[in-house]
Amino acid sequence: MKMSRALAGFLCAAVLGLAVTPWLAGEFYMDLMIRIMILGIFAMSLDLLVGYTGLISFGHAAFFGLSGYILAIVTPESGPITLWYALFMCLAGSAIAAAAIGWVSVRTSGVYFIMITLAFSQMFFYYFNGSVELGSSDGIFIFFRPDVTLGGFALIDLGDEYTFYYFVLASLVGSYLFLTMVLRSPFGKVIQGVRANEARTRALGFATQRYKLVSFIIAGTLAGFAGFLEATHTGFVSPAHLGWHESGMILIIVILGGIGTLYGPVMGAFVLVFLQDKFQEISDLWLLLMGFFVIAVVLFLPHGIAGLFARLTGARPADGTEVGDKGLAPTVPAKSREGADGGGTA
Amino acid sequence: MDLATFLIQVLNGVQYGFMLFLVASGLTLIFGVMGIINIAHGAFYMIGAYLAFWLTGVVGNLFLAIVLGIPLMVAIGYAVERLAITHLYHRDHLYQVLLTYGLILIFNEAQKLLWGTGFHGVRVPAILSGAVPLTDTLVYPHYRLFISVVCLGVAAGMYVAINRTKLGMMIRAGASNREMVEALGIDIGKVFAIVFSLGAALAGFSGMIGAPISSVYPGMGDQILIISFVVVVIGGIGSIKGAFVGAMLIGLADTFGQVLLPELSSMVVYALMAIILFWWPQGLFGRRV
Amino acid sequence: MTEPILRTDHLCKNFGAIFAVNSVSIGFAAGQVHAIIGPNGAGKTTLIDLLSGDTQPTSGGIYFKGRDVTRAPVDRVSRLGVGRSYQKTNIFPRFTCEQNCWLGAQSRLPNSMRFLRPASSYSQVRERTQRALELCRLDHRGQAIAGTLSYGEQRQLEIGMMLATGPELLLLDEPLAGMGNEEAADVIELLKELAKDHTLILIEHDMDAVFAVAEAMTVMVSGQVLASGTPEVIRNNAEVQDAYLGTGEDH
Repeated sequence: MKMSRALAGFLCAAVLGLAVTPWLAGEFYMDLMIRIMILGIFAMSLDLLVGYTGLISFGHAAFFGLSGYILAIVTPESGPITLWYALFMCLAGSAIAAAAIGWVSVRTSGVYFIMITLAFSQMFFYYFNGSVELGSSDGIFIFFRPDVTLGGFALIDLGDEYTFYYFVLASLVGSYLFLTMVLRSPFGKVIQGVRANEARTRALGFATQRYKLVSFIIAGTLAGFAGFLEATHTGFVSPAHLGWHESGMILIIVILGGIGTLYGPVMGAFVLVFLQDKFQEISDLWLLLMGFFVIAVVLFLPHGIAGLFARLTGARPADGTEVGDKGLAPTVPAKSREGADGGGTA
Repeated sequence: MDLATFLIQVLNGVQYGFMLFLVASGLTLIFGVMGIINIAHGAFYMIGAYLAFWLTGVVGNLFLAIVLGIPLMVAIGYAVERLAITHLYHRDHLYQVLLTYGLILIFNEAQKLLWGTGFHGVRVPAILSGAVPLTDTLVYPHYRLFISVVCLGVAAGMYVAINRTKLGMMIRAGASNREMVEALGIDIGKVFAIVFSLGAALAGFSGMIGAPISSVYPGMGDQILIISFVVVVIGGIGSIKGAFVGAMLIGLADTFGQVLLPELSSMVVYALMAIILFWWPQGLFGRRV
Repeated sequence: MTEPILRTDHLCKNFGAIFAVNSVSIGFAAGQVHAIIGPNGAGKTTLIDLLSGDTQPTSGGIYFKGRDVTRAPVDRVSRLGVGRSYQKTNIFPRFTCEQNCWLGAQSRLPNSMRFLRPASSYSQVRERTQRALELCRLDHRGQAIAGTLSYGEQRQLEIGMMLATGPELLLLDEPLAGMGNEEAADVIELLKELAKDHTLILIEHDMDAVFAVAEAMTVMVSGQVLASGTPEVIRNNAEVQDAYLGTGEDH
């Protein structure tokens, strides 16, 4: 991943802008920005799968919502728990769930993978939807944000909105840097090979299923981290957080921003949340407008905002932003030519 | 569980399986022939159910409502294919999923606009409102038997149509080798439009005929879509035979799951899917895609 | 004769009722260039697919350096030291040439489940990549996007990716397919160079090329071995001439 100077400058400016937002904007916009940044982390985690590993998950919200439920379960009604314990439980729970779902799912590919991830996330949905002690379809409240203490000494107070804002901003920047590190590592090179041409990556000596599984677990855990932040932010979690509409929306955010760019999905979250806000102001039937918007994005903006950005600045899109349309797909690997010998150039 | 209860559960499972088959067969054919993953397929089921509710209110009879509703479903399917799906051929699955997801948002909102957010019942036609007595206390409704018989008829009709007619030949050829069909000079666009419209009609018909049992409510399409995905994945994408076997398995598993494992009933079908996929990653009758 | 480096034992692969490979037993001697020839549909590519682990056999056995690799998947076969190039160019079209070879080179790290250090800081991978690019004569094109290369260059890259994995034995499926005379001559030179310290198994339709490099030959027809031996023996085999060489020249 090479980054142009213009892009690096833009990202630094964006972070700076986010850092000064609480001083310029009112409480309403601060709240909206927290939501956007959390969705940004969630969207980046999905981008690791869709944009870099080539795994189209339609069930990514499962980890987002599950983590929120774990926070609700471990937070007692009498008072807060420590951040470290809460975070550990949420991340470990998401990672285990991702490992279990991923273990079955990565054995398949293409359209099977889409359907299976969707089906498994719905399994979680129906479980929580039917669980009376967790509030069924109404969801459940979390009354206390975790304490950030070290050796009995309180470091920061997440209950303070300003502190929480910067905590989320630091999480966003940290997640971006973490994913950048992963993508630059040998592991990152392998998953990008998998996305471009899995059969060839295998033939070069990589047991690709293992790499896909690990990528799925990393993405699921990071989505769980976003879910932890969301539940901490709103103090509430419901089955809708892990329903397939949430999975669909986050996929839209990734495409809208520009897949395979990491920063694009964060921009996508920004645009979509503001748009949703506007649509809701205009009409009760805002989902209808959203439906048309989604179709327009698919038809007219397949490379997303980041692709537009790249085209306007005349840069060649990063190799991730181009999606393997069938016409451009790599040569069909030998495996799928079953039944044909192909023993000559006839 | 005594024999009569067991029999009732089997009949219920089979009847549910048949209705799932009507939805899933369209889904699997649309993928197999057209290479399109259509997330909005469940919406056709929902539209069918609402049409049955609305038309029954207008004409006063469910049968007549179904007769009127089917051409409407074909027309809706055709319009969707021409206006939206046609932009998706040769596009990545990702975009197919997203565009058809956009369609769901539109259909769901349109449904609320037209019919509101309440639950509606559809009355079983008087002629079928009776029941077969099984024991002194247990009966089995005529209408449920009727559904199974009609669906069996539709399934048999599909079998004949696909195996014995020219259109069926093109569909089969399309499902096994799309490039070849195009190379043979068959108007593939026409085949696609027909398959998609028929798929929509099948799903809509399932929604119509099931309306008196399931009742009619917002979001009913989402639920059937996801179960249909499970069916298609279990059976193997693109395989009608697989869709049939998968639908029966899921119909029975879901029905018996609710009786035997009530706490976990919502998870049973997914567990079954996971188990089957573990041994057959391509589904029971799947080919590589 | 010493134990062959790669050996098949009554190897079969059928698709339904059709035997693409039917009871093939061949030993490939270490250090030799062994060409497999035969008409279209003879099962040559399927045989290579079986040897590389791209396809699993129906029955029979495959042994590499005495080790049973009959059921080994393609990634394991690769890690054991068997490289493979494809008949249809099978590269990463959106990566640069360097990135294409990089993955091959990186696959020889003990494992790639490494997350912290940038991949570019692994100097042994970089050197291996560079060496592969030089061998396939694309070192001046390292930063070019693979999909924009000429057809001949893509074929060279195909071989370069395989070489980056540092294989002992190379499986080459029609390395000259679709090449012009000049490009083909280049690749033949490359094959001769590789033959010095590798074992080569090669499918090729260009008979001049085959007789120029091969030290052993196997003729396949209808999934079966028709004849095996030195080029001299094959050239003079009446059966082979009837079945293939006579009609194959016009290919």
